[in-house]
Amino acid sequence: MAKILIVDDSRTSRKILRGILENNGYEVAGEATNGEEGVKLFEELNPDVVTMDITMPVMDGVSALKEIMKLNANAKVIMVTAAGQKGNVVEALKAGAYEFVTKPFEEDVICDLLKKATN
Amino acid sequence: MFANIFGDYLVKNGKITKEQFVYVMEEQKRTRVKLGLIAVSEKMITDKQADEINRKQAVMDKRFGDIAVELGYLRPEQVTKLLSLQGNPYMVFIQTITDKGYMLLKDLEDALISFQQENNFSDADIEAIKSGDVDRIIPVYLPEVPALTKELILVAVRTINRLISTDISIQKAEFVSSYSANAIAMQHMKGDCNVTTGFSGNQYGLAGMLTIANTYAGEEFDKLELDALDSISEFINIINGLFATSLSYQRVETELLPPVFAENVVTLNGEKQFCVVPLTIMGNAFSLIVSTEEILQF
Repeated sequence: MAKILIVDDSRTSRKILRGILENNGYEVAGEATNGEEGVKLFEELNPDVVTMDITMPVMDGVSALKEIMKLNANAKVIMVTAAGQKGNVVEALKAGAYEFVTKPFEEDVICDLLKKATN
Repeated sequence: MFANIFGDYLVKNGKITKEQFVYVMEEQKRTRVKLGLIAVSEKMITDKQADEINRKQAVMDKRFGDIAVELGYLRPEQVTKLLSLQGNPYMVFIQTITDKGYMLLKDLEDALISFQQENNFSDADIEAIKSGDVDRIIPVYLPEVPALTKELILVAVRTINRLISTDISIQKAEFVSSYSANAIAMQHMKGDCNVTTGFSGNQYGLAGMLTIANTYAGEEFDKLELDALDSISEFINIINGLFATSLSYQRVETELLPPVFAENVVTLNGEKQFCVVPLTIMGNAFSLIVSTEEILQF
C-alpha cells in the first residue's frame, strides 16, 4: 500500500484529501500543516508521494518542495493549488515537482496522478 | 435567483407566508432540471461529455453551455434551445404560486410593480431580474461599483451558485471605509493589484457563514469555530484562484496569501472605501466583503 504525506495548512483540505486517499486504498502516512513540518515529516516517514499545498504560512509549498528535492532528488511531490497560480506552478515544476492538481479536488484526477506516481 | 429575490419581497410584505415560500422554492428545485441532464436526455451530448464539462466547470468560472460550445460539443443555437427547455424562472415561479392558490396573477403583477418602484429599478433592471440569470441580475445590485470589484463579486456569486447552492439572494451593495463583523474569514492577494475577499456574519447572525462552511466541507458545524472558518477560507481560496486566472488573462499577476480569520467581533478598516454585499444563502444571511484597491486590515 503506497504511503502518502499530506502537507496543507487547511484542516478542510487535509480532511477531504485524506477521505479520497483512504477510499482508494492509499495509506496516509502523516499530515503536516506547513512546509517546515512537511520537510521534517518527509525525512521521518519516507513517504512514496507527498501532496504539497502551495500557499501556506511559516514555509510555503514551493520552498518546502526545494528542501525535499535536496533530501531526495527522486521524491514524488504533487503540488496542490487554487486556479490562477501559474507562476508558482511553473516554478514548482522547474524545481522538480512531479505534477500539480487544482482545487477543488476531483477524485478521478488525484487517483490517476497517484497511480502514475506510484507505478 | 429570481424566485429568491422576489419571493423574499413577497414574504416581507405579507403577500405569502414563509412556509408557502419554502414550498415554492422546493417545487422549483424539483422541476428545474440541470442543463447537462437535458442535453444528455435530448441526445445532444453523451454522459461522458457532460461529466467532462462538469469537471471543467468546477475549476473554471464559466457556465455549462459556454464550456460545451468551447469544446465543440454544442452549438450556440443548441444551448439556446436547452435554456428554453429548462424553462423561464419567472414563469415557473408565477405558475407555482398561482397553481397553489397562494396569490392571484393580478396581485402578483401589482406586487412586482411595487417591488420595482420601491427599489428604483428600471424596466431593464426588472427584465434582468426576471431572467434568473446571475450574470444579468448581479450588476443590477451593483450600480456604482467599479468594474474590477464587480468582476470579483460576479466570480464569487457564480462560484457559490456552482459549488454551494443556487438558492441565493442579493441586496444592494454599499461602500464603507470601516466595517464591523461578528466573525470573518478572508484571503488577500498581492501583486500588480492588491485584493481582499472575505465572508462575514452581519446583523442577521452567522447562519449564512455556517451554511457555506458545512456545505463546502461536508460537515455539520453548529457554531462558527476555527475549523468552520477554515472551510470558508478554502472556499474563498477557490474564488480568488478563479479571479486570479481572469486577471492573468489581462496580464495582471497576483499571488494568493494564506487565509486570515477571526471568530469574534472585529472591525475591518481600509484607507479607501471597500464594498460590502449583503447576500442570503438558503435563507441565511451573510456579507461578501471585497476590496480590489488595497489589502484590508483588522
